[in-house]
Amino acid sequence: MKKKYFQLFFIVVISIFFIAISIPHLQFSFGGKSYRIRGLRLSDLNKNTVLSDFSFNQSLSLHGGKQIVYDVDLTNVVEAEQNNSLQRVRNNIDARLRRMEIGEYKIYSLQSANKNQIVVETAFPLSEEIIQKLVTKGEVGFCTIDFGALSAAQQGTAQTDPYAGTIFQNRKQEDVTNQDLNISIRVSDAKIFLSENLVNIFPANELITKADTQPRNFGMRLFFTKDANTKLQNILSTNPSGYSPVIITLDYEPVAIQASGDLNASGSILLYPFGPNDKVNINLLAAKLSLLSLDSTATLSSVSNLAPWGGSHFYADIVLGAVIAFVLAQLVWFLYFRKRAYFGIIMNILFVIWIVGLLKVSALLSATLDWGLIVGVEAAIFLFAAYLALITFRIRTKSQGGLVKEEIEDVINASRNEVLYICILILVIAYILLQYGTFGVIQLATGIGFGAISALLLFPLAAQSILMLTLLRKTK
Amino acid sequence: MKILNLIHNYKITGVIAVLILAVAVTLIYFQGLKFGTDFSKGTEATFYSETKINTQDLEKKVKKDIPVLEKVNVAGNTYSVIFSGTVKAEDITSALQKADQKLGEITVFNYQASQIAYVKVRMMYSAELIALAFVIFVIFSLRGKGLTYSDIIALALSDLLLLCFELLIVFAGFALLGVFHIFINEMLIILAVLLAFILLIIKIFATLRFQDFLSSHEVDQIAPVWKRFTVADWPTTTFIVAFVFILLIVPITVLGAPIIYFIPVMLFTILVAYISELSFKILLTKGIDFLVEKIPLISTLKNRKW
Repeated sequence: MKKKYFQLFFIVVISIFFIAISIPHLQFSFGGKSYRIRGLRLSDLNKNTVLSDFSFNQSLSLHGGKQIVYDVDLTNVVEAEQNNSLQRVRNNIDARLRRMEIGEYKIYSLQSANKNQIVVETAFPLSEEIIQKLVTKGEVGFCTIDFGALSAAQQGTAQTDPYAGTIFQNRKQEDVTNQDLNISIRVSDAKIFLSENLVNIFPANELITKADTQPRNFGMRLFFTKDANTKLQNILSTNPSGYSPVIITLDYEPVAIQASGDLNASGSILLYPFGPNDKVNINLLAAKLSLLSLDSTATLSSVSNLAPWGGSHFYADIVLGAVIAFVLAQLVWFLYFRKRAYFGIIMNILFVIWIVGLLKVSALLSATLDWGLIVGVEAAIFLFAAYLALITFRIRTKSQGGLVKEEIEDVINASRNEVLYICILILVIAYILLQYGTFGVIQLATGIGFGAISALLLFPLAAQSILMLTLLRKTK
Repeated sequence: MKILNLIHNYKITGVIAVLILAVAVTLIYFQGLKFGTDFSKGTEATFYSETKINTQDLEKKVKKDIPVLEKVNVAGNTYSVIFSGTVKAEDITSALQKADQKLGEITVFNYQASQIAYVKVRMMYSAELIALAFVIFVIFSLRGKGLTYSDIIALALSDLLLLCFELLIVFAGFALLGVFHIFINEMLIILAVLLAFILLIIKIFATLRFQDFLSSHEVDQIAPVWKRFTVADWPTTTFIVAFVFILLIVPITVLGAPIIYFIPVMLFTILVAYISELSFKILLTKGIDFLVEKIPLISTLKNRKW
C-alpha cells in the first residue's frame, strides 16, 4: 500500500508541474481591472538560463508568420531555360531552409512574363540578417597560409600584399569549389575554440578577438567528397601545428576558421564559425557549405506579415473543439461503463496532462504547435482511451462485488506487456512517418509518438494505483 | 436487431464490400486524384490594396467564375489568390475585377511548390513499411493462443487486405471531392493519415479482444469462431466507433470548410470497415484453408499450432 501512495504522490507532483507549464498566456479584464495568467517559464526557475522557454514554435496555419519575397534575376538565361533555372534556385533555397531547422515553412516559385520570384513563408522569427543571407550565392573558398609569401615577408623581399592587416594576410586561395564538399554538419563540441596563441597571430580585427578563446556552443564539421580527399589532405597539411589554420569564405566573405582542437582528424575539418553563435545561423552556414551555389542572383523584394491560414480565430476554434470533444467523450465513457468509468476517466485526464506537459518540455527542442500536432495528440488520446476500454472490459468480467487486490494485479499483469508492444508498434509507425512524411504528417507523427511515450511512462506508474483507488474491495 | 443480423451475415456484407470496391475503383480510374497547389502546379494572382478586403466574399464571388480557386492569402496589404492548375491570366483578371472593381494592378504568375516529386513516393514507402510492422504485430499477438499457422496467416492477411480496401475508399473519397473542386492538399493528407491510424488502432484492439475471446472458447475452425466473436463483441466495437466519432470528428467539424468535406469520407470509411470486417475475415480464412488443403507442400500448416 505504501508503494501505491508513493506512486500516486509522484504522479500528482509531475501532473501539477505539467499543468503549470501547460497554462497558455491569457489576458482579460474584469471589474475594470486587467488580469494576466501565464504558465510556468524556465526563467522563473533560473534567471541565467540559456535554454528557450516552455513554449512551442509557432506555426503558419495557427499563428500566421512572415511572407518573404525574393526577385530572381534570370536576364542572362535563355527563355526556354528560365523555368528550370528558377526551380533550381527554389530547390536550393528549400534545401537551405530544411537544414536550418526552423520548423514549418513553405516555399514556392512565381513566374510571369517579366517577373521571377521565390516566396518563403515561415512562422519562425528570422532576423533581417538571416533573411538577406538566405539567398546569397554561397560560393565557397578556402584560404590557406602561403608559406612562400610568409617567408618572403619575413626576409623583407615580399611584394605589397593587398590583404595586409586583414586576416587574409599572407594567404592564398586553394582550388576548392562547392562540388568538392560532401556535407557540413552543425556540431556541439567543447573543442570548438581558438587557442590564445593563435588569436594573437592575427592582426586586430572584428572577426577574431580574445573572446574566441572560450569554447562556443556550436561549430561545424566539414567533410569532403571521396574524389576531393587529396585536396583535403593538402589543406590539412598546411596547418601542422595549429598556428596556420585554414579560413573558409562564402562569396569572398570569411565565415569560419579551422578550430584549434581536433587537428588530427583525417577525414574532416572542425570549423569555428564567425558571427552569431546561434543554431539557425550555424545551420544556414553549414547548409551553404553542403550544397552547390545558386546559379542565379536572388535579391530581397519584400517582407510582410502573413495572416493565419484559417483566420485569426483558427487556433481558439481548434483548441475549443478539442476540449468539447474530450469532455463529450468522457460523458460517453461514463454512460457506457457507469461505476467502472472512474478509472478510465481519471487515466484519460492524466494522459492528456502528461502528453501536453511532455510536449511542452519538448518545446525546448523546438517542437512546433500546429494543426498536425494537435490532430496527432487527439489520435494518441484515442489510442490510449481504446486501450483503457479494453482493460475496463477485462475488469467487467471480474468485477461483480468489486475487485480484490489479486484480481487487479491479474488484469494489470495481463496488460503490462501488451502496452509495451503496442507502444513499440506506434513508435515504429511514428518513426516511419517522421522519415517519409510531409511537414504536417511529421507533426502528426510527433503527436502520436509522444502519446506512445506518455503511455509508456504513465501506465506502469498509475494504472494499478488508480484501479485500486477506484475499484478495490477487501472481500468480494 | 434486423440491422445487426444483416451486418453479421458475411455473404450480404461481402457483396456490399465488392460493390463498394467496384464503385471506388471506377471513381479513381475515371475521375483520378486531383492534387492542390501544395503538391502540384497552380496559378497565383497578386494585387495590392490599401483598404481591407473581405477575403471570404472575394473567394465566393471569384469561385462562381473560376471554381478551381483554392485559397486567398493575405500578407500585409498584398493579397494572393491561388488557383489549382493552369488558368488563363485574362480569365483571372476579369473574374477578380468583376468581384471587386476597386482592385489595383493584378499580376498573374505560374505557381510551383517544392514538394511535388516526393509526396507519392513517400506515401508508398510509408504505407508499405507500416503495413509490414502491423502484420508482424498481429502475428506476434496471436502466436501461442492455440491457433494454427494457416489461421494466423489468414487473420493477418485479411487485416492487411481490409486496410488496403479502406485506403482505396479514402482515395475514392478524394476523387469524389475533386469533382467538387476540393483538392488534395497538406490538410487532407494529414486527415487521411489520421483516418488510416484510427483504422489501424481499431484493428489492433479487435485482435486483442479476439485474443481474450480465445482464452474462453474452443477453436475448431477459425471462421465460425470469428463470427461468434463478432456477434458477441458488437457493443464493444460500437462503443469504440462512437468514441472515435466524438473525439476526432467534433474538433474537425468546428474548423469548417474545406476540411469539413472530408468528414463524410471518414464516416463512410469507418462504417464500411465496421460492416465488412466479418466478410473479409471469413472469406479469407476459408480461402486460405482451401489453398492449404490443395497444396501438399504447405498442408501441414493447417494442423500445426503456432
